[in-house]
Amino acid sequence: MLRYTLRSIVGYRIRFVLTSLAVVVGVAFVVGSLLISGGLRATFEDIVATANQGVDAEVRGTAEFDDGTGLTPPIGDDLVDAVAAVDGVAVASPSLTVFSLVPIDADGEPITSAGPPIISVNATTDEADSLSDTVTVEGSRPGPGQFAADVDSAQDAGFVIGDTYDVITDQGRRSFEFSGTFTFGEDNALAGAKLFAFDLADLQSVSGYEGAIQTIRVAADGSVDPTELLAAIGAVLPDGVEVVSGEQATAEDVAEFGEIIDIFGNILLGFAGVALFVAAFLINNVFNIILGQRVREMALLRSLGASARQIRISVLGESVLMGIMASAIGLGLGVVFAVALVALFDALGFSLPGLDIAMSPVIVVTAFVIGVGVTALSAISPSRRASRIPPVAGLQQGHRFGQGEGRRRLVIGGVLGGVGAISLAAGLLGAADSTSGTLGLLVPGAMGVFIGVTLLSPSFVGPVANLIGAPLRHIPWLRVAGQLARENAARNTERTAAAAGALMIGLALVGMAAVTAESLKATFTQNLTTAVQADYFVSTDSFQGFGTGLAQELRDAEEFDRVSAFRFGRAQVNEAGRDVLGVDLADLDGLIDPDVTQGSLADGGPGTVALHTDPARDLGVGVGDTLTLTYANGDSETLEVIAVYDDSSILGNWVIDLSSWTGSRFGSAADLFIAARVADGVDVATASAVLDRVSEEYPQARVENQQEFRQSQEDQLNSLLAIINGMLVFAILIALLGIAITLALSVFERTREIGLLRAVGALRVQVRRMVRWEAAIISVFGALLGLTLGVIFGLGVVTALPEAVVTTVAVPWLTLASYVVLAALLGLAAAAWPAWRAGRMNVLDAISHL
Amino acid sequence: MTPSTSPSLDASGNGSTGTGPAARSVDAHKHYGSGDTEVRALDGVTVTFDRGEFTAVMGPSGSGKSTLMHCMAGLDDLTSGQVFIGETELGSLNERHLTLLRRHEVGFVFQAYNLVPTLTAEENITLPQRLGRIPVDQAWVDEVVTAVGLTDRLSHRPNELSGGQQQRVAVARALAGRPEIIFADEPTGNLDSRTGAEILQFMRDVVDRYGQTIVMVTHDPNAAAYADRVIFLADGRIVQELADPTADQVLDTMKQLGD
Repeated sequence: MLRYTLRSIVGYRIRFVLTSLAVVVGVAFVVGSLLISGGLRATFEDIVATANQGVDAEVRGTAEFDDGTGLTPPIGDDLVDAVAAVDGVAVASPSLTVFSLVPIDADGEPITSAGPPIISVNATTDEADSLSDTVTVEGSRPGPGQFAADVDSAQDAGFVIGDTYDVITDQGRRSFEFSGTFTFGEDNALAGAKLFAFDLADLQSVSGYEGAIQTIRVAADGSVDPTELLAAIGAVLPDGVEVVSGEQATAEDVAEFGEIIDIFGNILLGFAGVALFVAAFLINNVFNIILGQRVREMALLRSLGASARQIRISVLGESVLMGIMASAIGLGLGVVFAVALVALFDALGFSLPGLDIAMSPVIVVTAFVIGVGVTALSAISPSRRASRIPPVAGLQQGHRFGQGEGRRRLVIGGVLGGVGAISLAAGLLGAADSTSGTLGLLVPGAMGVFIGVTLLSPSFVGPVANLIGAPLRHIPWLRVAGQLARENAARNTERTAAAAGALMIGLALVGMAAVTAESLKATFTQNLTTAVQADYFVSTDSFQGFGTGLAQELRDAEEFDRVSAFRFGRAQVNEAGRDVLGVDLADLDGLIDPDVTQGSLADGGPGTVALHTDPARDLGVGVGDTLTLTYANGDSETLEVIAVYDDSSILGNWVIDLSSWTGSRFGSAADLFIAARVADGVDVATASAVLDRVSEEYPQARVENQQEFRQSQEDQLNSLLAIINGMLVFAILIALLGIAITLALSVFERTREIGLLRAVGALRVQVRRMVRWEAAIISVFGALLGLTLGVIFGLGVVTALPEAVVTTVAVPWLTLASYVVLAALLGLAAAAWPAWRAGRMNVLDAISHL
Repeated sequence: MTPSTSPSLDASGNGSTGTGPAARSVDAHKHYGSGDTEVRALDGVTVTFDRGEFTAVMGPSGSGKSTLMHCMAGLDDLTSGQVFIGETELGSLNERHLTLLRRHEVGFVFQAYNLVPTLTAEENITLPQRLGRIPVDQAWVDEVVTAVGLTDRLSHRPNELSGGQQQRVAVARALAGRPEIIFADEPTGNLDSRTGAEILQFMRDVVDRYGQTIVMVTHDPNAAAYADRVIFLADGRIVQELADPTADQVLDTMKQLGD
């Protein structure tokens, strides 16, 4: 039987290769995703290892709770000497890392970065050279009033040693002399980040860290046992400061990066999973069609004595061989794919440079397990069908493959679809309380719905295909070809349903994303018109924000009567971490209307807090009561509640006054956002001119009026949507490949009929049209099914999202309609090859084909 | 659509009113392969099919009778020589014009698989006209449909029709466009003898009543007996001709040729 299996692969090699393509693409996607996340992990591990080389112990502030910034609370820089004096310590070096400084390059433009951060650190002193993670290349380490840059950034910026450049700091612009260049480690492998070094005292003064640092890096002299050294250092540290070993600090950093990389990698793998799921649909359909065309052959084998089991194993064997071959190719293509994906992210503004794409045995094994697994799983049901072909089928005309399974299919489809829908609904409505639990409900739920709908759709694909194709009747040159296309699409319902089902999956996800995004946009627009009274917004793309100076200048300008900066951070209330917004609380009244139900924002000022009704109810507090907030550095503060509000869409749940906000409490004291209202009697042009003048000092700031602000928020959502759609393109391509293969096989099956059409006067172009429009009808059917599901899924997502995120439900009908048109066009394109084959068929051969 | 060089390719398909033979071949050769393996399927066939004549083409397997039909109908091309439908020489036509010629000037009845399974009987009958966006002569189609006795079967799909009914639909389709000539390739080969006789009688009537030209390839002497004339082929040549044949005459001739 093995020989038979091999022979049939050779005999049907074109179909075999085409079908494998789907698995190849899916496996390549998985391999590419694994390569990229593996590469990222390796890159960051290298960076952490370089940064921590020579560090035997690290002294740092103890965080009260994880405030999400990844920074530990500041510690006093006077501790450095105390630590250095401990027996066994060779060197103790202070360390301060700041993300908010932006040097201006030689052309006067602020340095920008697409994704990776702009990092400013204090220069290590010559005495602490063994702890330095940099190697000076030209010039010298920066002294007071100087700064240095890594070689790549220095070259990009055109810095010349000895020249003076401005740096935008939290305290406004400062001038520094460029002292030299260095490499990070040996190779300056910074993965796109830009690294600048300053004198410690300078860095402290421009970043709000006067007298403070973040960590002390310690090198041991080897005279004391490492454990005892840690204990000895610990003994000189005050409360709120701890010491950990160098290994532990490295491991923690690696773990922190690893989490972010895992999220990124899992998102990629999720899209790869969708592509594989679609590939499974395709393989299943193709196996069904091919085996359907081989009914007589199977029956012959059966009558010659092959057992049902042998037939089943032979078919499965074919699929396993196909899986092995496809996995091998997919593995190779995955490398290409990873490189292409890196380039794609680069083009989209998410730079991932310096990635080491390295194959590992784990990836190889994963590729084969997934490739062979998916192929074999998809072939199970066709193989069972094939094994049920009776020997007598070889003598009968018209034994249909999968005869008499219609009822069973409906029952299975109904059950799968129903259970899937329930599971989806449960997941969306939050039946599970963990992320993995929710995904465990959502993913199988969606798969169940997809398979269920595909199994049910043969029962209505006929009439719907007729309806979709009906307009073709009114196009004179498509009347006959269009009718034939329609009838052909409606003819083998199960096949059409399966081909359309694959496309349905991709478009369901596209539709879901579109509905969710549209609802977010609508909600945002509505909030902006009802809750926001500010006239101007200043925002920035950089996580660094723009210090504190810009907001202060606006507060001082008389053209604006209300100005508030916005900062985002975390604090603890009642032992629980809370997301806290810092604003000019007194000015908020008149900028934002959060639907205050109790008290008044106008009473805001130092020592006050406003909160949403939910936490107010949970904590049992109202206006006039007090609450104690604990910050990351251990500070506690008691604040008076001055207002309780109902609309958390803009402010979130907790709002405090900026007077409580310091860099040491929240990790950063930079403003990320500013809202301003124009004073009465000041015209728009004047106000706008003032904003332009003030923001000139802050090149990273983007000034927008309400309408521009709304537009830029929508643009951001749109580009996110574009990325999601871009990732789904692979699944959609596989689905289109499926439609092409299905049609190629159908054309082969209908050779005699096409020959007849040609004999009685159908032109080649008419035959081609017939095939192409059948593909278009299948595509539109798949698109309609998918988008219908997508809208339902999307509405589910919108319902499940918290009210703070989305309150308005909106469906982008026009966009969805354009997807249907696009699907029709893609279908036409996908059928180009089978249509060409159909048109090229030799009439005489076709007529005599049996 | 109509090539200007061939006035007979007139969209009405009403070529049977012209003068001269409906179709003819002049020294038609069709060779396959070369050298020792060369097969001469047609080896100098010159034959004329007059208007309103019902001709049967007979001969053993491999005699070239199917090849002759395919070449005459524009489904295959000659190695050398000429074939004409009306006044049109097929060798001068490209693929597209050959298709149009088949659509307008030629009717086909095959042994089996004559009909497009997704179309109804009526749609199958008017398929060539609809492919050409030519107005269907409804009165004529009605007459043909009545003649073949399919009036109450028009909306049925082929798989809802018996084999005999399917062949009648095929004949009706061949007639519907009033082609210059109808080629029938073993039209009764898949039918039982009674149904086959019905079809043959119908074809005979069509020739008598409407002056339709029909060329039928067969190896059934009884079928050939319905024709006005029988041409016998062997090894790619015409070896014998019978006018107004009876089944017995045909059988005798076949036996002679077989010796």
